[in-house]
Amino acid sequence: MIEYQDKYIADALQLISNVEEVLLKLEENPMWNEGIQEIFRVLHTLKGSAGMFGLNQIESFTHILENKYHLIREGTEQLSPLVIQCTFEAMDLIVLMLESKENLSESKKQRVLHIQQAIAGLETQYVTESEIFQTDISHNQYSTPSQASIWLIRFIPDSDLFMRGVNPMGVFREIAELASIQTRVNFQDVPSLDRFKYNTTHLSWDLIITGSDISREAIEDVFMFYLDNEYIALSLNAKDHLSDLELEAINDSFKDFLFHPDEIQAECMKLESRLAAAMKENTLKTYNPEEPGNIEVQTKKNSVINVASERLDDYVNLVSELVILNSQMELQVQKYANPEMSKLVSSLNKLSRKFRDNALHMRLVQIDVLLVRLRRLIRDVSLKLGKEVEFVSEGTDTELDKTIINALEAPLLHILRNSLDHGIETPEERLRKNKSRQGIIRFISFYSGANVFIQIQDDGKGIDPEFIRTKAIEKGLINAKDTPDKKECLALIFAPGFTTAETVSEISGRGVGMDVVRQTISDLRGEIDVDSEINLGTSVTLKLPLTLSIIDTLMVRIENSIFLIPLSSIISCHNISALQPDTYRRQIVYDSELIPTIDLAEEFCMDAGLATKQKVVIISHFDKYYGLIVDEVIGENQAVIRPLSYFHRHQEFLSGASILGDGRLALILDTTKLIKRKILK
Amino acid sequence: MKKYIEIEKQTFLTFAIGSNWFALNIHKVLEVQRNKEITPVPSTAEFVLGIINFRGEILTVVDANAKLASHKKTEKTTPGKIIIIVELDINDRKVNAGISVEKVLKVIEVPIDQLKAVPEFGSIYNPEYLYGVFQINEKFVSVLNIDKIFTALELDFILEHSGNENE
Amino acid sequence: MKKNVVIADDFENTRWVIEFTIKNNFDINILKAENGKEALQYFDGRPIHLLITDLNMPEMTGIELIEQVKQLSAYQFLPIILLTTETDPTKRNEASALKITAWIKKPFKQDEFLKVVKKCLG
Repeated sequence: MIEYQDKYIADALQLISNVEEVLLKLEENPMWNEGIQEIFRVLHTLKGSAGMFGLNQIESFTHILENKYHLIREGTEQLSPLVIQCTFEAMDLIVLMLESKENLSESKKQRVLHIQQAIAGLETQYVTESEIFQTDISHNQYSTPSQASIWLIRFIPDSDLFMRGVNPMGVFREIAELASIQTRVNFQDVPSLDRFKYNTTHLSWDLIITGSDISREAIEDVFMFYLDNEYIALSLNAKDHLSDLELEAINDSFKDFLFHPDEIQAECMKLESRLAAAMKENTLKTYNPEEPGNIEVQTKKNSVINVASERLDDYVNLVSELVILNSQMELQVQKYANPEMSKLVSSLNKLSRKFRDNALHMRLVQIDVLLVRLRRLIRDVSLKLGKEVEFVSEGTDTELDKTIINALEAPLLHILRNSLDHGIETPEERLRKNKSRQGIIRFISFYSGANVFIQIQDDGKGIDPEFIRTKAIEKGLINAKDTPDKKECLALIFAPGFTTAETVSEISGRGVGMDVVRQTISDLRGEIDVDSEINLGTSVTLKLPLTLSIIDTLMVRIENSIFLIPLSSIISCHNISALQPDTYRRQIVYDSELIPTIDLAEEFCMDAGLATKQKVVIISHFDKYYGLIVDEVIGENQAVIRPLSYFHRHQEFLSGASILGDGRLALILDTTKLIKRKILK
Repeated sequence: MKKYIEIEKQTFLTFAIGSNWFALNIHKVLEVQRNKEITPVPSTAEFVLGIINFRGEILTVVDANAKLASHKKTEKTTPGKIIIIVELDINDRKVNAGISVEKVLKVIEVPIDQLKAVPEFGSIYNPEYLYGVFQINEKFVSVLNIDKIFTALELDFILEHSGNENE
Repeated sequence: MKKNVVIADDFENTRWVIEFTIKNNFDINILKAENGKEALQYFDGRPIHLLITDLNMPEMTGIELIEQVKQLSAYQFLPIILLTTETDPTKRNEASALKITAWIKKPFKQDEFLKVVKKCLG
C-alpha cells in the first residue's frame, strides 16, 4: 500500500501543477467553461484517490471545493476571486500535506487550519454526492427545458419491514436528495401500547414529491427494497388545474389521501413558478453569445496515468496467462459438452481476449514522443554543419509498443545524422543544383497490417551506387569482379565496417554505423530498407511489428514437435513435389528461380534425414526466398510470446515459446536468425 | 529430571538416481510434477531435456541422471519421469528450473549434526556439488548444492552454443 | 467509527471483487468469510451494519447463515444482501421467505451493486 501511496503523491503533484496552470488562465477569464470543467474533474480525482489512501483531511476539503465548482459549472454560482484564491491555497495545502505527511511543523499547522477554515467558509450549500454524479452524466443537456414532475405516493410498508433489515427513513432521505417532499403520517394503525410490537411497523405515509424530470425509474429506485404492494406512485401533470381524470385517479387509488386536492394543486403551481424562474436564469447564462474558452487550447496530459513499465509487464503476463488458461478450459468444456458451461466459457473467453487486447494497448505509445529528440538533433546538427533543414512529420499519432519506441531512438538518430551529414547539401550547393535553399527531412509513419512503417526521407544528394561499390571493394567487402545491381549496392551500407565518410566526422561515420542500426531493427523483429536516387534524395524505411509480445504465426509440425513460424516472413505453403525438388531436396524451384531449402527436422537433428517430409513453407529474408521443409502445416495461430527460460537465453534461432490451447508448448522460430546461421555454416 | 537438548533439524526431499540416493533442501523445492510432457529444444546440450510450462512460466528441465552421473558413468541411466521444480539462486537472481529424476523417495527430517562433510575424494560426484552426506539406515544420501550445480551448468550452456557457432 | 460489513462467499474472486468495489467507494471495515460457519463467528456482539452472503457455500449455506443470524436478537434488524446465481424461482422464493433486504444476481454490475450497498448502509 505504501508504494501505491507514493504513486498517488506523484500523480497528485502532477495534477496540482496542472490545476495551477488552469487557475492562472481562469483568473484572467473566469467564464472559461473548459477550465472550470477541468478543475472540477481534477478535484474529483484528487478527492477519490485521497479517500482511497485514507488521506481524509484532503478528501474532506477537496469535497467542499468540488461542490463549489459543481455549482459554478451548473451556472448556479459564479467563479469569484475568493474561490480561485481558495483553490490556489487548497493546492498549496495538499502539497504541504502530501510532502510532510504527518510531520507538520507548528506554523504550517496554523496555515493548514487557516486555509481549511477559508475553504469551509465556502460551503454554503451542501450538494450530495449522488447529485453530482447524476448531473455529471446529464450536464450537457441542462439547457433543454426541464419537465415539471409531480408524484403522489402512498407508502404502506409491510409489518415485517424491520425484520428485513430495511429502514424506511432511507426512502425519505433519498427522495429529499432528488426533489422536494411533503409528507403526512398515518397513525391510525398504531395499536395501543399493550399490543405494540417493537419489531413491527404500524405507520404508513402519504407523500407529494415535486421536482423536475423525476422518472418512474427514479421512484422505483428509491423503493428498491420494497415489494410492489408496499407503495403506489401516481404521476400528475403539473398544471394550473388538475384534470378531472387525475382527480378521479387520486380518489381511486388514494382513498383518504392525507393531502386535500387543493393542496396538491397548490404544490403544482409552486413547482411551475419555481421551474420557470430557474429556466429563465439558465437561458440567460447559457446563451452568452461569446462563449469564451472555446478558442482556448485544450489542456491535456492530466488524464494520463504513469505506470511503472514493470508493473505493466506483470499485468500483460498475467493477462496472457488468463487467456491461455481460458483456451485450455474451452478445450475441456468441449469434451464434456455441457451447453450452459460452454456458453459461460465462451463469454469468459471473449472477455479475456478483450482484456488481452486492452493490456497490449496499454503498452502502446504514440511515436511523437520520439520527435522531441529528433527535432533537437536536427536543430543542433544542421546548425553545426551550416545546413538549413526543415523537418516535416506525418502520422505521429501512430502507436507502437513502448519497448520498440525506446529501442528505436538510437537507430533513428543515426539515420537522421546520416541524412544531415551525407544527404542534405549546404545551401550554396543546393542553390547551384537549382534546389531550394532549405533541405527537407520527412518523418512519416503509418500502419500497414500488423506492422508499423517509419520512413525517413531527405531531398539531398542521394547515394551513388557506384561510389558505394568502389568503397566496398576498397574495404574488401566485395570482390572487384562483382557487379551488384543498384539494390544490392545500397544494401552494402548495412554491411559491418562500412562507412563512407572521407574523414571520420564528429557527426557520423564512427565506423559503427548502419550495420548496428540494422541489427537493432532486426532484434525488434523488424526490417530496414533503403532507396535512393542521385540528387533527388534518400529514403530509409523501417518495418516494425506493432507489439513484441504477441505474434501471428503459422503452426507447423516437425516430427512430434509443434513449431510456430511468424506469418510476417511467410510467403506461401506448398507440397514439395510441386516445386521440382532436386534429388536431395536441397533446392526447389519457386517463382521460376532455384531457391535453397532447409529441412528443419534435419537442422534440429530430429530425424536421420529420411527426407520424407511433404510440405514446404516459403519464407522471405531480405527479398530472397527460402523453403522450410516441415511435416505438416496445421494452421494460423496468434501466439503470446514467452521468453525461453533463463538457461536458454543464448538460444539462437528461437525467439521464444508459446503455450498452446491444450497446454503444450510450441517453439517460435526466428527465421531471420535461422537463415543467418545457415548462411554462416 | 531429563534434559533435552534441542537439535536443529533440516527437512529434505530425497530421490533416487539408479541406486544412489540424493537429497534437496525442502526450501529449494517448489513442486514435484509427474508425467509432464517435456518439449525438446533443438541444438541444446545433451543434459537439457527441454522445456515445460509451469504455471505459465517456461522452465528448462535438466536430466539429473546425465549430469550427476557424468563424471564416472557407473550405471547406464535413462531420464526419469518425475520433475522436481526447484528455485535457484544463480548469480544473485532467482531462477526456476526442473530436474528430472527416476524416483522421489520421501521427505525426511535430519538433525543437522548428522550431516557429514563430503570426503574430499573417492566420491563419484564432484564434492563441490554437494553440501554433505547423511546416512539413513545403511544408505548414504548426498545433499545436493543445487545452486552450484546449475551455475556450473550455465557455463555448459554457453559453451554448447558457442561451440555450435564454430562448427 | 467505521461500519463493519461481513462478506461470505466461497469464491476468493468474488470476495475480492466485492471488497475492492466497496472499499473503493466507502470508508468501511470488511470482514471476509469463506462460508456461513466462518461468517457466523463475526456475529459475536460487535456492531455489524451489513451482511453480504452467497447462497450456496460449503459447511454452512447462506440460508442457514441468515437463519442463524436472525435468531440473534442483536442482529435481527441487520440488512442482508443475498448474492445468487440461482434462476430457479422456487429457490428464489425460499430465499425471499427469509426476510432479507435485497438479493443480487451474480455476476453483478458494479454500479448496481453499489447502489444497493449504499441504500443498506443508509
